[in-house]
Amino acid sequence: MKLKLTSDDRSEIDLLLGEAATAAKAPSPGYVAAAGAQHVEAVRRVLQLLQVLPAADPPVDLVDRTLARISQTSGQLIEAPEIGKAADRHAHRPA
Amino acid sequence: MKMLSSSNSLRHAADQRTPGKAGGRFKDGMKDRHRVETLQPTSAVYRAEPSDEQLLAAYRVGDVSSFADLVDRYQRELFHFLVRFVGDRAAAEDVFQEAFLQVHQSADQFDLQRRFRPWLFTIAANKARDMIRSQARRPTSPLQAAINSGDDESGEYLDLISSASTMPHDDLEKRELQMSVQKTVMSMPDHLREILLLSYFHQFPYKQISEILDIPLGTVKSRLHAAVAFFADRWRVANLGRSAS
Repeated sequence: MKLKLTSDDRSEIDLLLGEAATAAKAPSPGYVAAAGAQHVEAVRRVLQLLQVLPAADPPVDLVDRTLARISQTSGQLIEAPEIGKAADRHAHRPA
Repeated sequence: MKMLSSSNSLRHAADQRTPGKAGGRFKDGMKDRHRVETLQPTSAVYRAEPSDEQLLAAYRVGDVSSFADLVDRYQRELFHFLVRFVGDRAAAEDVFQEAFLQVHQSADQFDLQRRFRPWLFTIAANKARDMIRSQARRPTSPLQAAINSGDDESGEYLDLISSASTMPHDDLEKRELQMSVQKTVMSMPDHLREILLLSYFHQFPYKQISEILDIPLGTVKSRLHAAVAFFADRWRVANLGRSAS
């Protein structure tokens, strides 16, 4: 069976992902009560699952290779990126 | 279009970035930046991180180090978006490079009154979609074909609470949970996965998502609702299967 959201679910998604992200449209104090605590919790639990979605960090030489590719495409000769040098620079980057 | 003035100018620019600074503060080239109208000549401004738009403006008047700073500034966030969207590290790297090549080629056309970040994501998302289509990496499955486009809200009525409350994520090891979530996300239709990533992970406001994807604001909302519903539904189905086995 395909799932369909209730209007409260949709409102809660908009609150969490849309309108809440813009300070100009902060939700009214009574919104949560109006939407219903159960719907708030349900949508939040669904979205919380996404937090564990992994994302691999970029390779340490991604910037260098990107710049080299752009330079090559622009018709300019450019030295190949030095992997060690790039790694040294990124080694100082905060996690 | 500005051309690179020396054979190793971009490479040199990359080396001039200050290690450990995500945005890379300037060590040189301040005279060029004085000519950028958007940069106000106050000492406080000089100490602050230049905005994306200021970096692009500086690049347009010849400061190639600013372009390297932009690439460096966005390497993590944009790569994370791409690898989650296309689901393949090598493909994400390729699209990342293509996106910044497009930025380089279109820098002079960018309206400096607009925001750089949505523009960058517009380019990257377009490139990623093109790549997905060209490689036909994820052919439509019979199950996916039965799912609507997400631009309307038809379908059988089902309370989201039931699917959310039965999710067994507390009982799963972290790695297993990650893999399961990743599998569920990658099973989503591209346009639903794309909008969910832009909204949830990158926190673009609806209006900017509308501009990035070139769809009406109402479609942003309905598509995002459909994305959450799809994810929850797929998660519920996967969880039922796991319980039965």
